[in-house]
Amino acid sequence: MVLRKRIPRQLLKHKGRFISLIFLIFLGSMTLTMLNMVVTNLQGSFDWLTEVGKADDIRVWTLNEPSNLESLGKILNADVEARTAVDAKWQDDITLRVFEVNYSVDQPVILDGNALQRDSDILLDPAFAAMQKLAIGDTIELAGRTFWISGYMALPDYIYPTHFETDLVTDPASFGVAVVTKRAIMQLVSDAPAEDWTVDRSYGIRFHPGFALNQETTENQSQTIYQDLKDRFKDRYGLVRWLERKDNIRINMVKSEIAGQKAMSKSLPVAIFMINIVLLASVLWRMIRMEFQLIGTLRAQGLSKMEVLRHYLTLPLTLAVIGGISGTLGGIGVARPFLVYYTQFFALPLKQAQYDPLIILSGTLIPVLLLGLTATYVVMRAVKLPPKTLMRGFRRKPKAMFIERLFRFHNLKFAMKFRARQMVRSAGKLFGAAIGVAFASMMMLTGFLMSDSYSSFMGDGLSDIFQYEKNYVFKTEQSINRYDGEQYQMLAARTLDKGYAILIEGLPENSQLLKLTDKSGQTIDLKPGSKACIITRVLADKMKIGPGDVISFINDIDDEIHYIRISGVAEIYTLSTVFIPLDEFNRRFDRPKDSFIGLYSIQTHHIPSEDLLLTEDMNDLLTSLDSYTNLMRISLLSIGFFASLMALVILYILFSLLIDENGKTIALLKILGYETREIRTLMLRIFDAPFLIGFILGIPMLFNFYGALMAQSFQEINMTMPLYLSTKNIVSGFAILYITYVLTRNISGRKILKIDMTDVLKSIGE
Amino acid sequence: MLELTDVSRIYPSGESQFYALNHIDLTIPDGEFVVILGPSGSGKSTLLNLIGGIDQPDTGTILVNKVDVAKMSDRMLTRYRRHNLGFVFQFNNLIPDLTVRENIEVTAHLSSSAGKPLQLLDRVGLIDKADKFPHQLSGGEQQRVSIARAIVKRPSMLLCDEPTGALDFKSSLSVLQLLEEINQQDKTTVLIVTHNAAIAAMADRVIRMRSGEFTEITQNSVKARADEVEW
Repeated sequence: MVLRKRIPRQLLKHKGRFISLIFLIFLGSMTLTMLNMVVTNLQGSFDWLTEVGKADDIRVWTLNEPSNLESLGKILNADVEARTAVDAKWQDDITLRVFEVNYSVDQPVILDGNALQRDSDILLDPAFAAMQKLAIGDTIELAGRTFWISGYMALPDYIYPTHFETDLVTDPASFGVAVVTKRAIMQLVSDAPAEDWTVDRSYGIRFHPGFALNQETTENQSQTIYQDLKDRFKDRYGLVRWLERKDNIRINMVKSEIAGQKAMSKSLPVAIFMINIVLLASVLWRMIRMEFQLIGTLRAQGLSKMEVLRHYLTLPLTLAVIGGISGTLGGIGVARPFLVYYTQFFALPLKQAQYDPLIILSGTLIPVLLLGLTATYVVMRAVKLPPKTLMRGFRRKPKAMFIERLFRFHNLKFAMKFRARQMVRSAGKLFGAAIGVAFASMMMLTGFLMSDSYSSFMGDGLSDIFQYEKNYVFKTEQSINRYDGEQYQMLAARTLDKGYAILIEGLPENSQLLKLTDKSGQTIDLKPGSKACIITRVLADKMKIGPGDVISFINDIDDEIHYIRISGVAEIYTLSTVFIPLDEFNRRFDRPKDSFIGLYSIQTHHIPSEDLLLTEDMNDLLTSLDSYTNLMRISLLSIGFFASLMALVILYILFSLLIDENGKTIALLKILGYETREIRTLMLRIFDAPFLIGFILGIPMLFNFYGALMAQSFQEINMTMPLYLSTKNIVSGFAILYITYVLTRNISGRKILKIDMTDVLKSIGE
Repeated sequence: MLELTDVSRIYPSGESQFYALNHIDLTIPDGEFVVILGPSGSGKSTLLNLIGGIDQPDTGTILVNKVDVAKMSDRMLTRYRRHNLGFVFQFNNLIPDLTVRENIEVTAHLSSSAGKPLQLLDRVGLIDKADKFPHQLSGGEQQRVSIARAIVKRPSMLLCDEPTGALDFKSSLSVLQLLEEINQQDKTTVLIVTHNAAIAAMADRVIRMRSGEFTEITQNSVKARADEVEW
């Protein structure tokens, strides 16, 4: 139909407005496609690595070596494989955890290069290699031996390769993982310098399909199987540690990130599309209102309702198709670098990115569908009217009059009265502006919120609590403390309710190196002999318990059920731990008086590595946090940029609509002698209040949204992060958005100059 | 043939009723040129709207070639307008972002027997303005385009609501000449609703209205030519 020829002309005539709408649709489609592609591919890579790499179901540490792993495997209907690991000091402050290659359980999956062929070959995790500028074919020296890097690999139980399990972030600048042959690891163990090198030996168990932990096995069945197995290890080999896959933080971190991305992949595009819908409806309704008489004429000439509807749908559908297709293509384009980033960050295999046709179709069809339905609703409001009503042109119902009378505007000064009336009559647009600004401020403050929360959580928060520099965990219980430091007891347990993995820790009175403080910052003391029981904030939130409640758990070692009444909650966000006095710990769990398993210290001690299960260095953690925060700042800047752009686009559309609708009034004001600046103040500053309200509204919306998102994504890991936004950053966010707002107002204000007085007067005459 | 019998259009007015048209009867044979005169509110536009199927009567029948327009569904009314009628309004209601030719094409595609837009533009003397946009034309030219748009689908009846109401004398004459030509050459029935009594001179029949009723119906024994009309 020839009417279609209007579309490109209308697009050209109001190009600013339509480009803005296309940009918003583009943004919605891009985020939809990109986030969903990233989530699908990450999940795919994760599942693939778990399967191909034969991820363990359980990893155990024992005092005595199980005698015959093959026969044990047969009994268990599982693969059981021993794995030795050496924490090698490759350079000062750089630890490389070198694993012996396994083939049945936790097999390294080659990401690039070749598998191990010679004893001098080594496989590296790609993030570490990239950070240390090590390429395939390069060599590295460990304990005087030269290793040739044959390839990059991913380990299924080290997808998020943190140095310690308590670490929250990886730091490839100071820690990496590697795999060498069985013979090479033996040589490394024998050549390892006693100082600073630690050796670890554990056993990975992977059940054969159909036996345990497959999807058909119920939780209770697998718990029974696990319990039997645990008893066997305890009785025969002296169980030191038991780690099930679902409790492995190095896997759960990835699951947590995927869960967060999944939630984001739904909520962010939905929010952008909602704004799109509101703005498109406003723009379209404005257009339709202006064309009431044209529509009436077309109907009078014999065009059917459907033909008129089809015509008026062409423009929004064109916008939706352009925005949808470009957004989908953009999303596909952006997804790849994101995937590369994530797969490097998590040491996941990046296979050929899967382009799920459903995601690609959704990226294009969802905006077309949503905006098509919105446009149909808006156009039908006019088209359903009889032609003779349309011929009279649009007549605004005097709905604002009641409110105008209610507020008695006539008592105000002219400028104030004028603005007040405009506000009442443009209530819809002001509401749209407030919602748009709220969303933009949410995006803008997201960066600041993450940065502030992270800094407060990691920086001051962690160093205030964990005041030790070294944490030594012994393989066996100690009775005499030969080293300077605070001794503590610890054992793993599982809550009766929901089966959460927790730690029970016995602390000395007035511990100076692990400070327990309550919400008000007051130190909580664990008096010797008292029944004090302090749980961490993570545990309290996760189990929804607090002081006065009883926590019940099964201790992993003796399998007895314990009940303890909680006396306080310590503001610790990284551990699911129950703290009790050290002497009470030894009494309750029937341990020798004064025995301990670990030592917090502000000094470095030379403890023989064979005595130690692990050594944790607080400085390493703080360094890695710094580098992670720096990395985060880059993405925060880009989020901020997009937020400003969104605010600009939304406000620009609303400003230009307002100017269009008030063209006659503006022309009259010009004729009367008002200057452009004065008109701009009268007309456009009505958005000041919605802008401010929108920004303020954005703050609680931001906290609610991220609170819910964090609760969902941190479900997998023993962590929570209190959200915090500093006043300085609220002001900064406001300043950036306000500058954007003023800029948009000034750009839009230029349209006032273009309004022709004679044309408008002519139309008034008509 | 158009036959109106006992046609009323009633609007509620407070607790009483207002008769925009009050039980009127009218028959218009094919090819007649009819001018309906009357002050504002006399019901002349309502009459035109009812004949044009863009409004429905509260009583009576409106037979067009023996088919009652008053009983037509919305869809049938659209077809009726599409195939039988052309409309010309006081304000031309041209689509501003379509060229003159395209404005005519909008209605041309509605009928399989439609004329060629360019031929029509030639006929209305605007062939050289075919690719201009409406705002580049004078008021009279715009109205001629709107007439071309109305007749391109070769309607049997042309309904004109104050076609010269917004035009100066010279432009009005050119529009009237065009309407006269369409009536005489194409044998199209033309109904003009107007305030302007001078136009009555060129009609076959003149209907005067007041308060929803016909006050006088006169047959012109001698019709004036459009270029003889003056005011």
